Amino acid sequence: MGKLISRQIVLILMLFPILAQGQDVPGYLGKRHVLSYDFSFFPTKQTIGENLITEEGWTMNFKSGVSLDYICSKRIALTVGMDYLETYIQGKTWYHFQTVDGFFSIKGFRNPKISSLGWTAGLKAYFDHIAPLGSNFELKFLYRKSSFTDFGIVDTSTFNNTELSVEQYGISLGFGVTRAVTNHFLISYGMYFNLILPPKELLNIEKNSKFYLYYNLENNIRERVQLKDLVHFKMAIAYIF
Amino acid sequence: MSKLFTLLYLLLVSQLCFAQDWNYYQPLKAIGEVPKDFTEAYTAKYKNKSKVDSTYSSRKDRIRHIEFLKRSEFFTDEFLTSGKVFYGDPVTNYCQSIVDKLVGDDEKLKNSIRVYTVKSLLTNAAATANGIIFVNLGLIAQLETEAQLAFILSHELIHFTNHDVMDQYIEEDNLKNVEDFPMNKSDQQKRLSNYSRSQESEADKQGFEKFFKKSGYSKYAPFEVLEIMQYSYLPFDEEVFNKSIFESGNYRIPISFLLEQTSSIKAVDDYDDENSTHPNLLKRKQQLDQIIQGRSGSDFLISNSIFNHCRKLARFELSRLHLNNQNYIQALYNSYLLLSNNPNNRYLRLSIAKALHGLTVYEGKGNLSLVLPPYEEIEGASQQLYYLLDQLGEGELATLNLNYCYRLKKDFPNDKTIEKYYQNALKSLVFANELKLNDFYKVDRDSVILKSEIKKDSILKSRRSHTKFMNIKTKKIDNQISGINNYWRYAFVDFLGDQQFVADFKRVELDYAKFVKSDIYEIEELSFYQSRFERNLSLGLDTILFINPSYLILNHRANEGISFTKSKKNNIEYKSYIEECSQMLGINSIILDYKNSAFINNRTFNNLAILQSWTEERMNLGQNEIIVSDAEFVEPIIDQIGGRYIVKTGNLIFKGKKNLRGRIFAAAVVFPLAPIIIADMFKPKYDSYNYFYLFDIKTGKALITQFNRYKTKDSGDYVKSMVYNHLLQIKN
Repeated sequence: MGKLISRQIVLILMLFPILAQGQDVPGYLGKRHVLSYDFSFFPTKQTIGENLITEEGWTMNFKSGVSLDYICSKRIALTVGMDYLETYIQGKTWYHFQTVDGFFSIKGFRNPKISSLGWTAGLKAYFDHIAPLGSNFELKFLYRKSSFTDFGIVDTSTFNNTELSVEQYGISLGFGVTRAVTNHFLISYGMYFNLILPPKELLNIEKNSKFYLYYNLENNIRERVQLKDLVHFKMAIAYIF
Repeated sequence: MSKLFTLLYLLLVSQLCFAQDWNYYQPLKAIGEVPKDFTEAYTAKYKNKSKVDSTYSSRKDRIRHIEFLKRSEFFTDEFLTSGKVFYGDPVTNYCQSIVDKLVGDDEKLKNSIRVYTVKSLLTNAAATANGIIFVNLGLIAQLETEAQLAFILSHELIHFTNHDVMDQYIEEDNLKNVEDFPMNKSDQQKRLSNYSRSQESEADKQGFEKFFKKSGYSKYAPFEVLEIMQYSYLPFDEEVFNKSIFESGNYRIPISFLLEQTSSIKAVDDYDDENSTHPNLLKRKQQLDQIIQGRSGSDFLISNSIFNHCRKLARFELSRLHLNNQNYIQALYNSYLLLSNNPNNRYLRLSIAKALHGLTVYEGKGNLSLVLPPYEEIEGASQQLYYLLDQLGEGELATLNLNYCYRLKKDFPNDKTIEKYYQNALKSLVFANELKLNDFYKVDRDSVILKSEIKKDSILKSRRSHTKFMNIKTKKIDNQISGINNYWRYAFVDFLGDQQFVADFKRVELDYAKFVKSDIYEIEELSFYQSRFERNLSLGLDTILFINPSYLILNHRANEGISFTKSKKNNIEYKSYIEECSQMLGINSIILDYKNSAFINNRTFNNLAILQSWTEERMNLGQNEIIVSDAEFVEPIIDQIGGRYIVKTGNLIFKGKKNLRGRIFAAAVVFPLAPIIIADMFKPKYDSYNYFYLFDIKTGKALITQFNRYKTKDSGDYVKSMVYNHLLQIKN
């Protein structure tokens, strides 16, 4: 898998010089690099929160990220980015604190917390105005790695801690609008859909098996992240240089 | 003192009369300091005016008045900066002196009125709400006496003193806001037409009574003006067209190419004026008949010679204006009429050559019908010319053109402009029509006719004289004698003795042979509308001149459909983007602009006018490889203006209504996207255009032809991005 990822990244990076060949690209006033801070949000209902009791009502989900675009033609920009989101899965864990005399005690129980780091690479196509302005579509490849933030798994046979992280792949589709507010700063907004591919390992597990439904933490994480990251509105502020 | 001034003025103008070289006619130029009307910013104009007229009965009146001023000043300003309006020239000064005479001692009125000449073909004059009277050269060309011009100016003065323009605006506004019995568009139009006609009748009546009556001008003049108006759509004179202007030596156009009789002129004075802004001419005559007693007065009170000079200027200018507008036949006929009193005039003969050149290029592309209207639609003597050109077959027009141009070249051998047209005529004949020198006869017509007659005689005496074969042969000989099918092949018989002509012809034939052999046989026509997403050029130019960039925002919600102040404001911003992006790229961009006080003076005013006229004609020519008719006037000023590359650029924005029904349906069907669709429904619909044309005025070539359409608002960042992209191509 690692080799596959690195090959993909290399291929994508190779696109930069290829696409930049022979193009007299104006960018925005001659600037072709866009560094942006992205902030995504999407409201959902009946989500799983920190408390063990399932929360009712609406809640807002957030995601932050940074991305770097390179405008390689009048219509196309290559983009790479990174984002971070946090969520919870249904389960039970305790949280504790260290006392001054070195003892710890169980404070309470809550749902386990997940942090997910995503990397994307792809391209944006502009169809109304010269890149990077105006309406655009984006198509990106997505890689997510999710793991527990403060939750450890103990292998009861050895009493050793084991790491649990989940990798996911997918594609991201979106459309948005980018505008320039000054000669150096851009803002953009839009709507994006992340379609995460189902994992190979679970394909042979029956859905009604106890293992799948209740005991597969990996699956829980996958589903949870997939749901959280499915669709969101994004706003970004960028510096163009 | 005023008499002394008038005398000095007449002396000055009479000197100017003799200063004009009619052979090398130069377009009419403005003289003196540029008036504030041209240079004052639009917003300053209507704001200043609204402060002056500040007595309003209600808030509604005040708003309406300000809206009126915005509209009125906008259109006036656009017109003043169109390059067609001139000040200080002999025609303007002459009209101004007539106005001063009509107004008499009313100093306030005298100081309010400014007269400007307009280079327009229309037979018209107009007055604006702020005291400007525009007089078209098309009108001056048609007039016969100074008294007629005086009556027209009296009429226009009344429009100003009675505030007719403002009153009509109020009437329009009232009709739109009628609460009881709201009107449809057709009824509104009828009411407005009625109102306008009543205003025109009053202008005739009061113009006569208030200004004309006591002036001393001939009382025949008002009636004469109406008679002139009746036939104003025709050329300034009705003269039988003589084809000999195109003939020479052996080159004779057949008689059958002429109509036996041209069509009669159908104009009447009692036409249906229901939808017209003016009463019909009969009604106007009848009204004048009731108020005008006697017919005494003088045709000329200021100067007969100055009138004749101004009219001659106007008529000479008309040839040029027709060429600018690709009215080639009208240019030809106008020049033909003038040649009768100015034989062998170089400018007029060259105007004919320019017209023939344009016609030939269109014919070469198979598009002659675009510039040659059907002769059946033409009335009067000029129909002959239309008919004659219509009869010319393939290659015949190009032949006529070359024959004419070569004769002109012989009379003016060192003239570079004529040389250019001659070379183009050669190229058109060989390239577009694939004709060679060998396709033309080398022996003179008379000897061919003689031989044919001898041949015919021998056929008639032969033993097969009455057979079908001999009859066909006899018919062919008859045609040869009459010259219907082959008259044009004699076109160059008289020139074959001239080695230069033969050498030029052979050279062009060789060029054509090379062209045919080369791979690029079918020339891919460059589009005149490149998209902004096409690959950029890199021209490597350092200095370019922007000709009066334009900006117009049309808004269905705005009163007149035009956002006046926003258009002007955005225009200023657009120019600032050009300057900013030029600075970023290191391009020396010079914006030739009437409102730039650092730039505009009398010389630059005239240069800008000629450049605007050149650019307008060049834009209209599109991909046609026609020499711009004003090229000879533009070339001498290239050094003055600081460069040979000019840009015509601008923006046109349409803000309209969205199709809500379609969107509501889409929101119902694709309900996940409903929030976005609903949000989109509240945004106005835009259809925006940005154009950027870069021309080399020396060669006439279009180097950049970008015409971009985009369906968003004309936000500053979008527009600036496009400007940068255009300029990037210029630099590198």
